Amino acid sequence: MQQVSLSWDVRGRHALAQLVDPKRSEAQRDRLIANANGASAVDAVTAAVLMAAIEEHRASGTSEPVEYCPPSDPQTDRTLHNLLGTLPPGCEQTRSRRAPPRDRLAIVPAQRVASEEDIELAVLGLRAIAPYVGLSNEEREIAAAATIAFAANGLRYAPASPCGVILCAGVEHESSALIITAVDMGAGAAQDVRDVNHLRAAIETSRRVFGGLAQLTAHARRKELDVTLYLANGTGEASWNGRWSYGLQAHVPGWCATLTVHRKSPRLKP
Amino acid sequence: MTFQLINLIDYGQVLSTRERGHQAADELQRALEDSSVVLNFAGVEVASASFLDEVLSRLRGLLVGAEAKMVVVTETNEDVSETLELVLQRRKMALASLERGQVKLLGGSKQLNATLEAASELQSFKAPELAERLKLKLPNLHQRLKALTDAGALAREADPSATSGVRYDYEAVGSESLNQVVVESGAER
Repeated sequence: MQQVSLSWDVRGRHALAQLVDPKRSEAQRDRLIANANGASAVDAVTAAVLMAAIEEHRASGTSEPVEYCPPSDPQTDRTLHNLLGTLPPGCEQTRSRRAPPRDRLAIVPAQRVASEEDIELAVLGLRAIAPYVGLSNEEREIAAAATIAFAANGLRYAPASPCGVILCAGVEHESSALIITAVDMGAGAAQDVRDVNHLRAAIETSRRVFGGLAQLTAHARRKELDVTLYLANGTGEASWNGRWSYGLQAHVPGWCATLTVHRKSPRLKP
Repeated sequence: MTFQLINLIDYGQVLSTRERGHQAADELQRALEDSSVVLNFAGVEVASASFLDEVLSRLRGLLVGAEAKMVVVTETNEDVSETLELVLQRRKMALASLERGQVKLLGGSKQLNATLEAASELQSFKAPELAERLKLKLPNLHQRLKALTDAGALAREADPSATSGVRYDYEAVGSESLNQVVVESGAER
């Protein structure tokens, strides 16, 4: 049995520790338990990591099902249920009560993006929902730009990712922050390399060719938006909020890019 | 002035990748060989900076030495206009835009915008005529005209009747004639 176990606060970078390493799990293809029972705080990154594990399991060709155990805390259950959207075929839910209602705060429920058409649909959906969750024009624009940049980068640089590129975007219920994230399992930096040079190189290349990451920071500066752009790959992580800073973290077998828009005057209308 | 219309909706409602931008740039290059071009964004919801960067960086090269050609964008929604401005700023470029029946300059200074507006009213002119209208000295105006010509917002051809030095006949696109191009092609929706 394989298990992805989410406990306590599994938002953002804490969720990435649960990203399945496809190389490690090659030998075992039993039932996958996606256990979020003990989770007390989740966000779009949590949902993307969980969906990545599910899609990786399905892509392995196994007929073994996925069992999803939702959080026991009702509010956390509701948030994750909302962000996960409809689970793919072959997933069973272990639930003792009715599924919670959904709302529009999950702007792009976690989903596998496999083509430019998928990106287009995600962006059109995001634009359609944006007014209903009170996003300003500037927030809507940068959310669309991040969706395109993250998904297009994933398709380009991680074509062999077994889970594809998983996209998820949502508005936080409490803080009203807008989070857009993409996760893949493309070749990460080697586990034993403890540096961030590969991330520095990626960011420098993006700056030079005006790639997606450079576009997002330029966009944020131009519109004076308070955003945090977070990247994780291998053992490195990088974060931008006006300037880049770098650090080391637990190994991430793939790539994660997350844009958080810290909204000044949120008008939340779930 | 003959304009060819390129409907960017043919590349999707969401113009996402550099690859698609490259295809659009190819079409733009072919069209500019024969005529001036209107880039029509009607129906396009979002254009990524990558897509636009691919088109505009090619356009910049194509406009060098193509002084008789003009390029105008039209039917941009707020999101597309914003991203266009971002890329134009990055590339230090400007581009003529037809907005609500008026020709404006995206990415240009106030002075350039005012010059284009006055030029569009005259449509065909020589530099001294425009200098008089704007109450500007000719050397100052020449700098602006050069910038507008490089941006594809004005076209110019050497005046064959000039007896000394090189003088140019300028042509600006009038909003009326541009509207005509867009309406005749059925692009207004």
